[in-house]
Amino acid sequence: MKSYQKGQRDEADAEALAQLRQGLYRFFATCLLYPEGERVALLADALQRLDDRYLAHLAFYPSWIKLREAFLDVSNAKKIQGEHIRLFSLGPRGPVCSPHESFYRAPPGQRTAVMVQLDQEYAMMGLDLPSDYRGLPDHVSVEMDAMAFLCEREAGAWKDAGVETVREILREELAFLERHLGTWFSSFADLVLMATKEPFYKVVVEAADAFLRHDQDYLSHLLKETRS
Amino acid sequence: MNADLGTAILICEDWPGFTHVPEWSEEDQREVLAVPELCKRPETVGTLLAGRKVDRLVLGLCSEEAYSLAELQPEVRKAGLDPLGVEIVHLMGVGPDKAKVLLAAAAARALAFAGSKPEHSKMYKSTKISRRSLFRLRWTEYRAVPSINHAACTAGSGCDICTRACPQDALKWSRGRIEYDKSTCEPCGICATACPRGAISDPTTTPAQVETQVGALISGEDGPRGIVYHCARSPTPQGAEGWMPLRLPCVGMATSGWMLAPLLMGAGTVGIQRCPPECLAGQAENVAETVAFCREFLANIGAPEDLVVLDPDLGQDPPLGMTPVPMDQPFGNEAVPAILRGLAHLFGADEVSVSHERSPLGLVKIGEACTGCGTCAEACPTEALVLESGEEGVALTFDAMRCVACNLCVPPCPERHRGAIEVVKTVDLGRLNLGRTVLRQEATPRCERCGAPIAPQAMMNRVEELLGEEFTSLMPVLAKYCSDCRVLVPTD
Repeated sequence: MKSYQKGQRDEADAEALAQLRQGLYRFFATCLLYPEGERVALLADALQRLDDRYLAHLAFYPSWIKLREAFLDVSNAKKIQGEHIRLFSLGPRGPVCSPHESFYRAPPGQRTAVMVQLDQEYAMMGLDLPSDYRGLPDHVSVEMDAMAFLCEREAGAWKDAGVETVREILREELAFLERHLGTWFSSFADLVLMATKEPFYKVVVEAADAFLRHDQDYLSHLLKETRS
Repeated sequence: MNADLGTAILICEDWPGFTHVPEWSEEDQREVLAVPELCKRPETVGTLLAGRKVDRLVLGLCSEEAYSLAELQPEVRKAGLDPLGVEIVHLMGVGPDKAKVLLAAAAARALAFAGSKPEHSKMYKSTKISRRSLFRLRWTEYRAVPSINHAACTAGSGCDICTRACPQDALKWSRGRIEYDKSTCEPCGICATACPRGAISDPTTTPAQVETQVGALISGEDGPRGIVYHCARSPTPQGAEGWMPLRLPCVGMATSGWMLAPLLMGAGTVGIQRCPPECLAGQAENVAETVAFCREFLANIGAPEDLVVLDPDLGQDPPLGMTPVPMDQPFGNEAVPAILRGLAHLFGADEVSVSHERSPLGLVKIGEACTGCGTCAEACPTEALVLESGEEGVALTFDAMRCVACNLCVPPCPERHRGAIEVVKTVDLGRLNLGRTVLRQEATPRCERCGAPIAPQAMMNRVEELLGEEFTSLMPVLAKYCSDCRVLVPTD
């Protein structure tokens, strides 16, 4: 990731900013996966690597600070493992807080339609779920990862392509947020906030929710500003 | 700086009055710091606040164009503060005594900031991408925009007051819900003060913040004080020591209540600096009309009308104010009747009535054609009109204290063309004193079969009239049975 240079106080490198957003989407995607010991260590490492000086320019930064502090307290991975299972996996009628889009957007019995639509969209992006992936395509982490993929393409476009290509990808990112994550993540976050006993998951969903909302604004703004 | 400091006041050392700063700290027991090059180096803010327990920040800058918010906001975020809650006071040309008051008032306003949510931020001016600067983006700054509390909003019963008030068409009524388009919104706060339910809020200009700031600006015993509201897009007005500027996102959001409340709080005069002609919100005319109402009201109660002034002459100090009258939340919309009554009482004019196009209150008049159906009450967003049902019948009641003259009760009335209902834009203090009164009372005949109320008698009469002679056989059934039982009763 490119770093912030002195004398560039009011300017950002467009490619580096797209890379930062890619990192953030991947980070939140990983945060909401089962917290194996190795994964938690990776997240703690990523937390340090994500460029702080760029991050402070983004409005969700205060939530990020809380998240950073919460990571300092995750000394006992077992504790959050139990909470992850309780919140997102187990329960007599499914998980306490379903991490799947279809739960929020489709009535029971019609959830497959959401997943089929997502599968098609992933395919259009050139993405395919790994054959050993046992989850569903509408899992929050998969959707976050799809956004990370689009941000990666955006970063490449800033570097190698023209502004129209960049705009095309920005439109794709915004459309994906407006059709998927942006429509249900807040409801998911609300459920987690009500149900969790662990400050860790509270700050994770708060920060992710703030990031997603601001990212939608950011993309709309960027599309408006890059209009020829 | 104390480690447990709540509010930090940082003042640029380039401001000539900075030598007084140490005295202020001693007097107020509040740490106020003079900071070298504060206007030139926003990173100073981050450095100074790092590791401190500061939850509010006031900056006293000596240049209005010190640096962009895009440069300042990251530094504030790094210190763990919400950038939307930072108060900036422009001190260029301001003497030390006045500066002290302005800074204290800004600190009071900062303390009343309740925090913002992600939906309250809107990105502003950054990238203008040309071929030459394709790979560089200017950092964006965030400004506060309003948000809607849909639980408190009465759009479901047809209220669209905010959409009519919004000068940018950023609010739209759609299927009983207000849709807000953040990208179109140029935050002016007009919707927030227009909403009679308080369902829209701009976190940086809440009634509580303005009240606190006004209170701090006019407190003290060192001479007369006047409040001058000005638009955030205009430069801070300069003038005599007694004039205290108060910045609003747009002066169009200042209601008559906001113009009159400071008088009860002890301000000698309230001035409103009109929007510049190039103002996007185009509020100059609205502001002038609101001022005109205030002046007419003041004249009617026997007070000098120039207690509220449009584009005041700031070269002269305002007159001394009245002894403050304690009031509960004077900047809330629901406080308007109390403000008007309070002022009228001070001038011994408790029964005055003032009709004006910009009257913040109204009176509903019910004509003989009213059938007591209650659709007007269903549409009323403030519950000024209520249809009460009892054993004997129905009563349409009205509380003048709650009526905001929005006129929403008129269009749904099926008998409006026959003069069943009318709203007049009038402040009638006599009516305000009456409390809730009955406008129309109708007996309700009961169903002969089950005993349920059928419909108000006036409505039955109207139905009979509409049915005419052609359907006379229907009427005896309609008059005897409720809608449920009618289908069970054999008819000829």
